[in-house]
This record gives sequence, C-alpha cells and structure tokens, in this order.
Amino acid sequence: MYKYFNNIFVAISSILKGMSITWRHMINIRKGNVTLQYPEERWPRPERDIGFDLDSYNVIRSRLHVDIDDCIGCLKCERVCPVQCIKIVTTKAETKGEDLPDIGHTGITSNGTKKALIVSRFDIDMSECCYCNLCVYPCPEECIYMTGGPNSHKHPIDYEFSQYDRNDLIYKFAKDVDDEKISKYVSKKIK
Amino acid sequence: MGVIHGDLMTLNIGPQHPSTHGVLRLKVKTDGEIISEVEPIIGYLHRCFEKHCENVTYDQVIPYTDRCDYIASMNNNFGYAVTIEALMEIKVPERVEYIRIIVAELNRIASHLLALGTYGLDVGAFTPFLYMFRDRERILDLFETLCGARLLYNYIWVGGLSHDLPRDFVESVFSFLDYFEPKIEEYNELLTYNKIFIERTADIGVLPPEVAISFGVTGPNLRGSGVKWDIRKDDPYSIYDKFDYDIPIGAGEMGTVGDCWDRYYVRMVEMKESAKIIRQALKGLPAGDVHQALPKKIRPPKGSIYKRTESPRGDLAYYIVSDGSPIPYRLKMRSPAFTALSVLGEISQGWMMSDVIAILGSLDIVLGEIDR
Amino acid sequence: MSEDLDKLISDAVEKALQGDMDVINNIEDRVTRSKAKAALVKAKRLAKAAIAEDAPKPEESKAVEALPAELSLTEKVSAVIAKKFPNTIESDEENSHIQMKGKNWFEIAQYLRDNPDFLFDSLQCVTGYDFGENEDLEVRYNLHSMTHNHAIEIRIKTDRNDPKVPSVEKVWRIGDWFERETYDMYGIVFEGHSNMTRILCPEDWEGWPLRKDYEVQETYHGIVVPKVKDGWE
Repeated sequence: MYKYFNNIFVAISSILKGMSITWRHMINIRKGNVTLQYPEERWPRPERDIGFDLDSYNVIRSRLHVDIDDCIGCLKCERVCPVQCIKIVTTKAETKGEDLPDIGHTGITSNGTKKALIVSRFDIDMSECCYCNLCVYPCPEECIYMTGGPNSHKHPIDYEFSQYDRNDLIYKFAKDVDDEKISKYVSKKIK
Repeated sequence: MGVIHGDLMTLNIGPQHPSTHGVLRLKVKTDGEIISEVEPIIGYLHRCFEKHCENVTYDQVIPYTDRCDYIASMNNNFGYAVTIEALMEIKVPERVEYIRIIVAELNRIASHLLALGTYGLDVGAFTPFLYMFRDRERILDLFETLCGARLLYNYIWVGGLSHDLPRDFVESVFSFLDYFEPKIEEYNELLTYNKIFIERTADIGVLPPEVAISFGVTGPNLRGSGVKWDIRKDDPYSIYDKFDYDIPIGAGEMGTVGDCWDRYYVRMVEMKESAKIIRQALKGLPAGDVHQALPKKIRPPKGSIYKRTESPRGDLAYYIVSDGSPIPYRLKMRSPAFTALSVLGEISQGWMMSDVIAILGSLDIVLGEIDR
Repeated sequence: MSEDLDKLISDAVEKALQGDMDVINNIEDRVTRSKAKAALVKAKRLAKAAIAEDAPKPEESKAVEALPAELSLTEKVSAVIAKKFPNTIESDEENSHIQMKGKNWFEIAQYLRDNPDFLFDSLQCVTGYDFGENEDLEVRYNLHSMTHNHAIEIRIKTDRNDPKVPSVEKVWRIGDWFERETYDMYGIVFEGHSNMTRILCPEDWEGWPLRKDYEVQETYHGIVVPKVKDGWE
C-alpha cells in the first residue's frame, strides 16, 4: 500500500522536476535560443582570427579551387587523393619558363618557379571528393586549396554549390582551348 | 520471462526505420506481442572498406577509417595511428600524445551525447535529445576551429597530427567544460531519474556477464553488466596511464545488474570521467612540434600486428599485415558494434515489441562500423 | 670445419637448454644460427617427452610448470597442445603465433577456453588471409583471456580450392558472426556452423570479395555494378 502511493509520488515529482527545467529554458528564451534561421542567418565560418599563422594551415573544408596559372603539373595532388577524384593531363613544354599566349600558358608561377609542363586537363569531381584536405598539403605552389577561410583573399568561400545534374559537379580548371592548338605542342605521347 | 511458442508471426522492422540507428533490418518472430526470436540482418551499408585499403597507401587509409564509425571519428583515426606506430616503432612527441587524448576524449563525450540523446528519443523523450545535441554542437564547433571539419576529421595521422592547436583552443575547451559539467546534472533530472524512463528501461534486456564475454561484447555494454574492463586501464596505449580517472560499472541501482538502465547510466558517468581526463591533460600540455615525427614515407617492416584501443562503443582493434610496401597487404578492423549487435538476438527473447527498440538503443550501435 | 660447426651448435644448444639464449643469438652466420635453433627445438621436444615418460601421471598444469619459465605464452600453449593433441602443431618457430592444422581445432578451442591456466574466454577477432593468387588461404584467430589478461594468435592454413575449417561457434558465441563474415569475404566454409550464409554481401552475390583474384561482377539484378560517369575516364 505504501509502495503504491510512493510510486505515484515519485512519478509525479520526477516529471515535475523535468518540466521545471524546460519551463526555465522557455522563460529565458531570448538569451538561450540556439536556433539559427538559415539561410538568413548563417553560423560564421572560421574567417575570424583563429590565432596562428594561417599561411601554413588550411582550416577550412569547402569546395576545392585551383589557380591554374600557378600549377606546375607535378601531379602530387592527384597521387595523394584517396578517391582519385582529380585528373590531370600534362605535356612537356618546349622551353622551360616560356609564355605561350595562344594556349594561355604562363611560363612563371607567382612564386617565381619556371614551369616545364603544360597542363592541358585538370578536372576535379566534387561529387567524389571526400573533403579530406590531403591534396592541399603537398602542393609546392599552394595553388590547390579549399575556398574561403584563410584563403578568402584568394577566393571567397563557397560551400553551397549544388547543381541539378551530377556531371555539372565536375569542375574543369584547365584553360579551355581547342585541341588543335594544344596538339601543336604535344610531344610523343599524350593520353 | 518465459517464451511461448504458439503460432509465430514474422514481422519485419525494415532497413528504413527511425529507431534502428542506421540501415539495419530486424526479422522478428512474435507470438502476439511477445518476441520469440530476433534476427538482425546487416550489410546495407557495406562498402568493403577492407578491400579499398588494399589499394591505397597507409596515409590515404585515414579518411577511409573516419567513415567507418562516423560518430567517433577521432577514435578510429587514433586506433589506426597507434597500430601503425606500434608496427613501425615510431615514438611520437609528448605534445602529440596529449592532444590526441584531448580530442579523443572530447569525441567520446560527443558520441555519448548522441547515443543517450537518441536513446531518449527512441523511448519517447524528445526534449533531452535536443538539449544533448545543443551541447554536442559546441564540441563540433571546437573541432571546427581545430581542423576545419565537423564530423570526419582526418586529424590524427601516423606519427603525429595534421595541425597544431589554434591559439585560444585551451581556453575554449576549459570554458566548454565549465559549461558542460552542470549540464550532466540537468540531464539526470530530465531523463535519468525520470520515473517513466526507469519503467521503460530498468530490468529490461538483462545481459549476464558470461554471455557478454562469450559474445565478445566490450565497452560500456560490458561495464553495464558489472565487469570492470577498460582497455585504457587494463592494456594502456598512448599515455592513458598518466591520468587519474575511474571506470564506472553497472550496479543494478534501478533493477538488475546489466539491464538497459545500467548501460545508459555507465555512459552518463563516463562523460564525467572523460571531462576529468581532459582537464588533467590540458593542465599538463607540453610545448613541442607536432610534425616532428611524421615519417616521409610510411613503409612498415614485414609483419603483422593486432592492437586494441577503447572507442566509445567498445574495443576497437586493427589487425594489419604488412609486406614491406607502402600499401597495406591486409587490414582488418574489428568493430565493437558488430559484437554488440550479435547479442541482440540473445537478450531480447521474451520481451515485448517496444522493449526490443529500447534494448537496441541501449546497445549503441553505428551501422557504419558494423558493415564497414 | 663441419665438425667445428657441429660442436658449436651442440654447445649452443646445451647452453640454451639451461636458459642462456645469448650464445645462439650471437652466432654470426645466419645458416648456422637457424640450424642451432632447429636443433634446440628438437632437443626441447625430446626433453619434454622424457619428462612425460618419467612422471607417473602428469596433469596438464604440472606439465606446464616443468617447462623452463622463460618460455613465452605462445611457446607454453603450443607445448601443451602438442602434448595433448599430437600432430596438430605445424611449427612453433615464430613467437608471435601458433600455426596449426585444422583437424582438431574444435576440441583444442574448448580446451583452451576451459583450461584454468589459460582461460581464453574471449575470441577477439577472426581474420581471413590470402597468400596470393593460386596460394593457400588462412584463418587467423586472436584469443584473449579476461581473467589472466594474456593473448595469443592461432593460424590455420587451408587449401584454396576446397577451404574447410572446423567451426568454433559452440565454443565462443561470437564465432557465429565472425565466421559468417570470413565465409562471405573469402569463401572458407566452417564445418559445423548452423547458418553458413553471407552476412555483409547480398545472398546471391557471386565471388569472394577479399580474395586477391576477385573480379567484380558486371551486373547485379540488372544494375551495372562498376560505376561509370560521362566525361570521366
């Protein structure tokens, strides 16, 4: 008999204790509200000062972007990608460091390195990309990076890049020139 | 409770169901409302991770390991890195060890928050789910300042880490811990000692310790049955033996030892213990270079190794066979949720339909880890 | 010259039987060193057989105590198994694992679980292993004891064209799912298993995915299996 009433008392008191917590939160709704009205309000991305030398690290994961004028065609990013979503085709240039304006090839990168290879195809399939950031570290010219964050001065942030067709998510970064113009510079073997 | 074999009805809790924590199919044979047999059918998320790992190099495996247990992804990376370092006999700097433990324990708190929140949701409590997710968001924001990603980090590399800590990370973690520890009391008032929750979970799905050991169950599920076994204390790796923390075990406070409430409560207390470990690690964090011991090319010597680590779900182990090349020859991940799910058929006999969902929630499974 | 070598080997074996392994380990020439180690194993086996004959009725625990204490767990276990189940150990040269034949594996597993010295009550992991194309398959078991906190590894080789290993489902209950997974990935049939079906792949999948010579099937119920995309190689 005692147990019966005790059960009722414990049940009601524990429920009331829980409800008092939610009541307190509801009263303080102005201060404690954590809901963001997306897309009008967005959570700030780490463009703020994180506090260390941002030149050596890339603490952002968003869409990949390539400054194709800086790419020397070393293929390091292609080899390190775990899902093989980067495809690069390069050809040997006749002279190292020479500008070839008819196909848009600049001979010297912004860091002063002379380019020995012409990059004729640089495709990244963003639907395959797993955003692991592994391709960013080995690049000697820092020309492949994830947009925004510490790289906002190079490219504004872009993480909402949805398309209607999956094939539109293949981003082509190489200069868009005709095959005949490229074939002038093709040496023995090209894929 | 006895099992009645009348005329059995086969019911299918299909791969798409909000309470199955992933794509899991349960074939349930019931007699009226009482269950007589439960058979879990898995394989809907099988991506053959082990075959992928035989085609990429050792450092490219790490994004793949992230995706197996996507909720406690730091612990997956940690286990893999510790295994390869044991095979190659690399000694990592002190700072790397401390930071690894800090992020692994933070991820343990985040994983337990998700497990407990969704468990409350399964038995009908909606409020604690949102509260726990609000706190989990703060941990994910901390990780975002650390490495840019919220859920799949690729942070702990073989021989070190990918980045060093940001400047004000230590203060942010301290302020998070000061905010979080009173919240555990709030959760206890909301859910743990709520009479309805106790009626739903106490005395249900009792897992005896001998059955648990024979089924290879480890982690909070085993500790809920009263067995004091934790890889961090009994087979320590990294520098876990330098810290001072307790291992909570289930004591049958609300019912029998090894019921669902015990497993829930063990996870709740483990969050407090993880907070203790993080505080100690932050106080003792040495200076140093985290990239110092990163090998230029990972080429382990020939041989095999089996190493166990403690993930939030149990005993996560990697068995790696190397033949001297930069690509693993055989990599097997022994996942704790695989063994936890196999015990479901055993402990849910004789209970009712809604109890099966409560038992499944208390086992805390992640299908990505089971199916790999 | 060979007599000197023989004398060197017998001296080294004598020293090692008394417990001093340095003499063998310091032999420079690799061939001679391995000969000395093989001779040591043979001598140990003879010594154990002599002890077994002498003692009137040796129980298992006594036999374990009679061996020199420096033996690692692997060597202790393989010595005991070799005594109780003759002709099942293939080699115990390596210190990391025990290589076994699959004949009496079920009885050996029960013995390992119940013997009070070992008490391997938890099967941690079952891994399949493929040595290469046209080579053998292997099953590797990692056992662990909760009470004594020690672990060993046992390997059982089996033929590629007809792989069969006794099942240990009744010994450790988790063997059920682990063996189904190994069957699914490698095609190794575990005899005595109650439900030998695929667990991760669909039931009508063809082929054994983790074998080294696996080719993915072209279509599955009409769906093209390898992914193709336009404009992508």
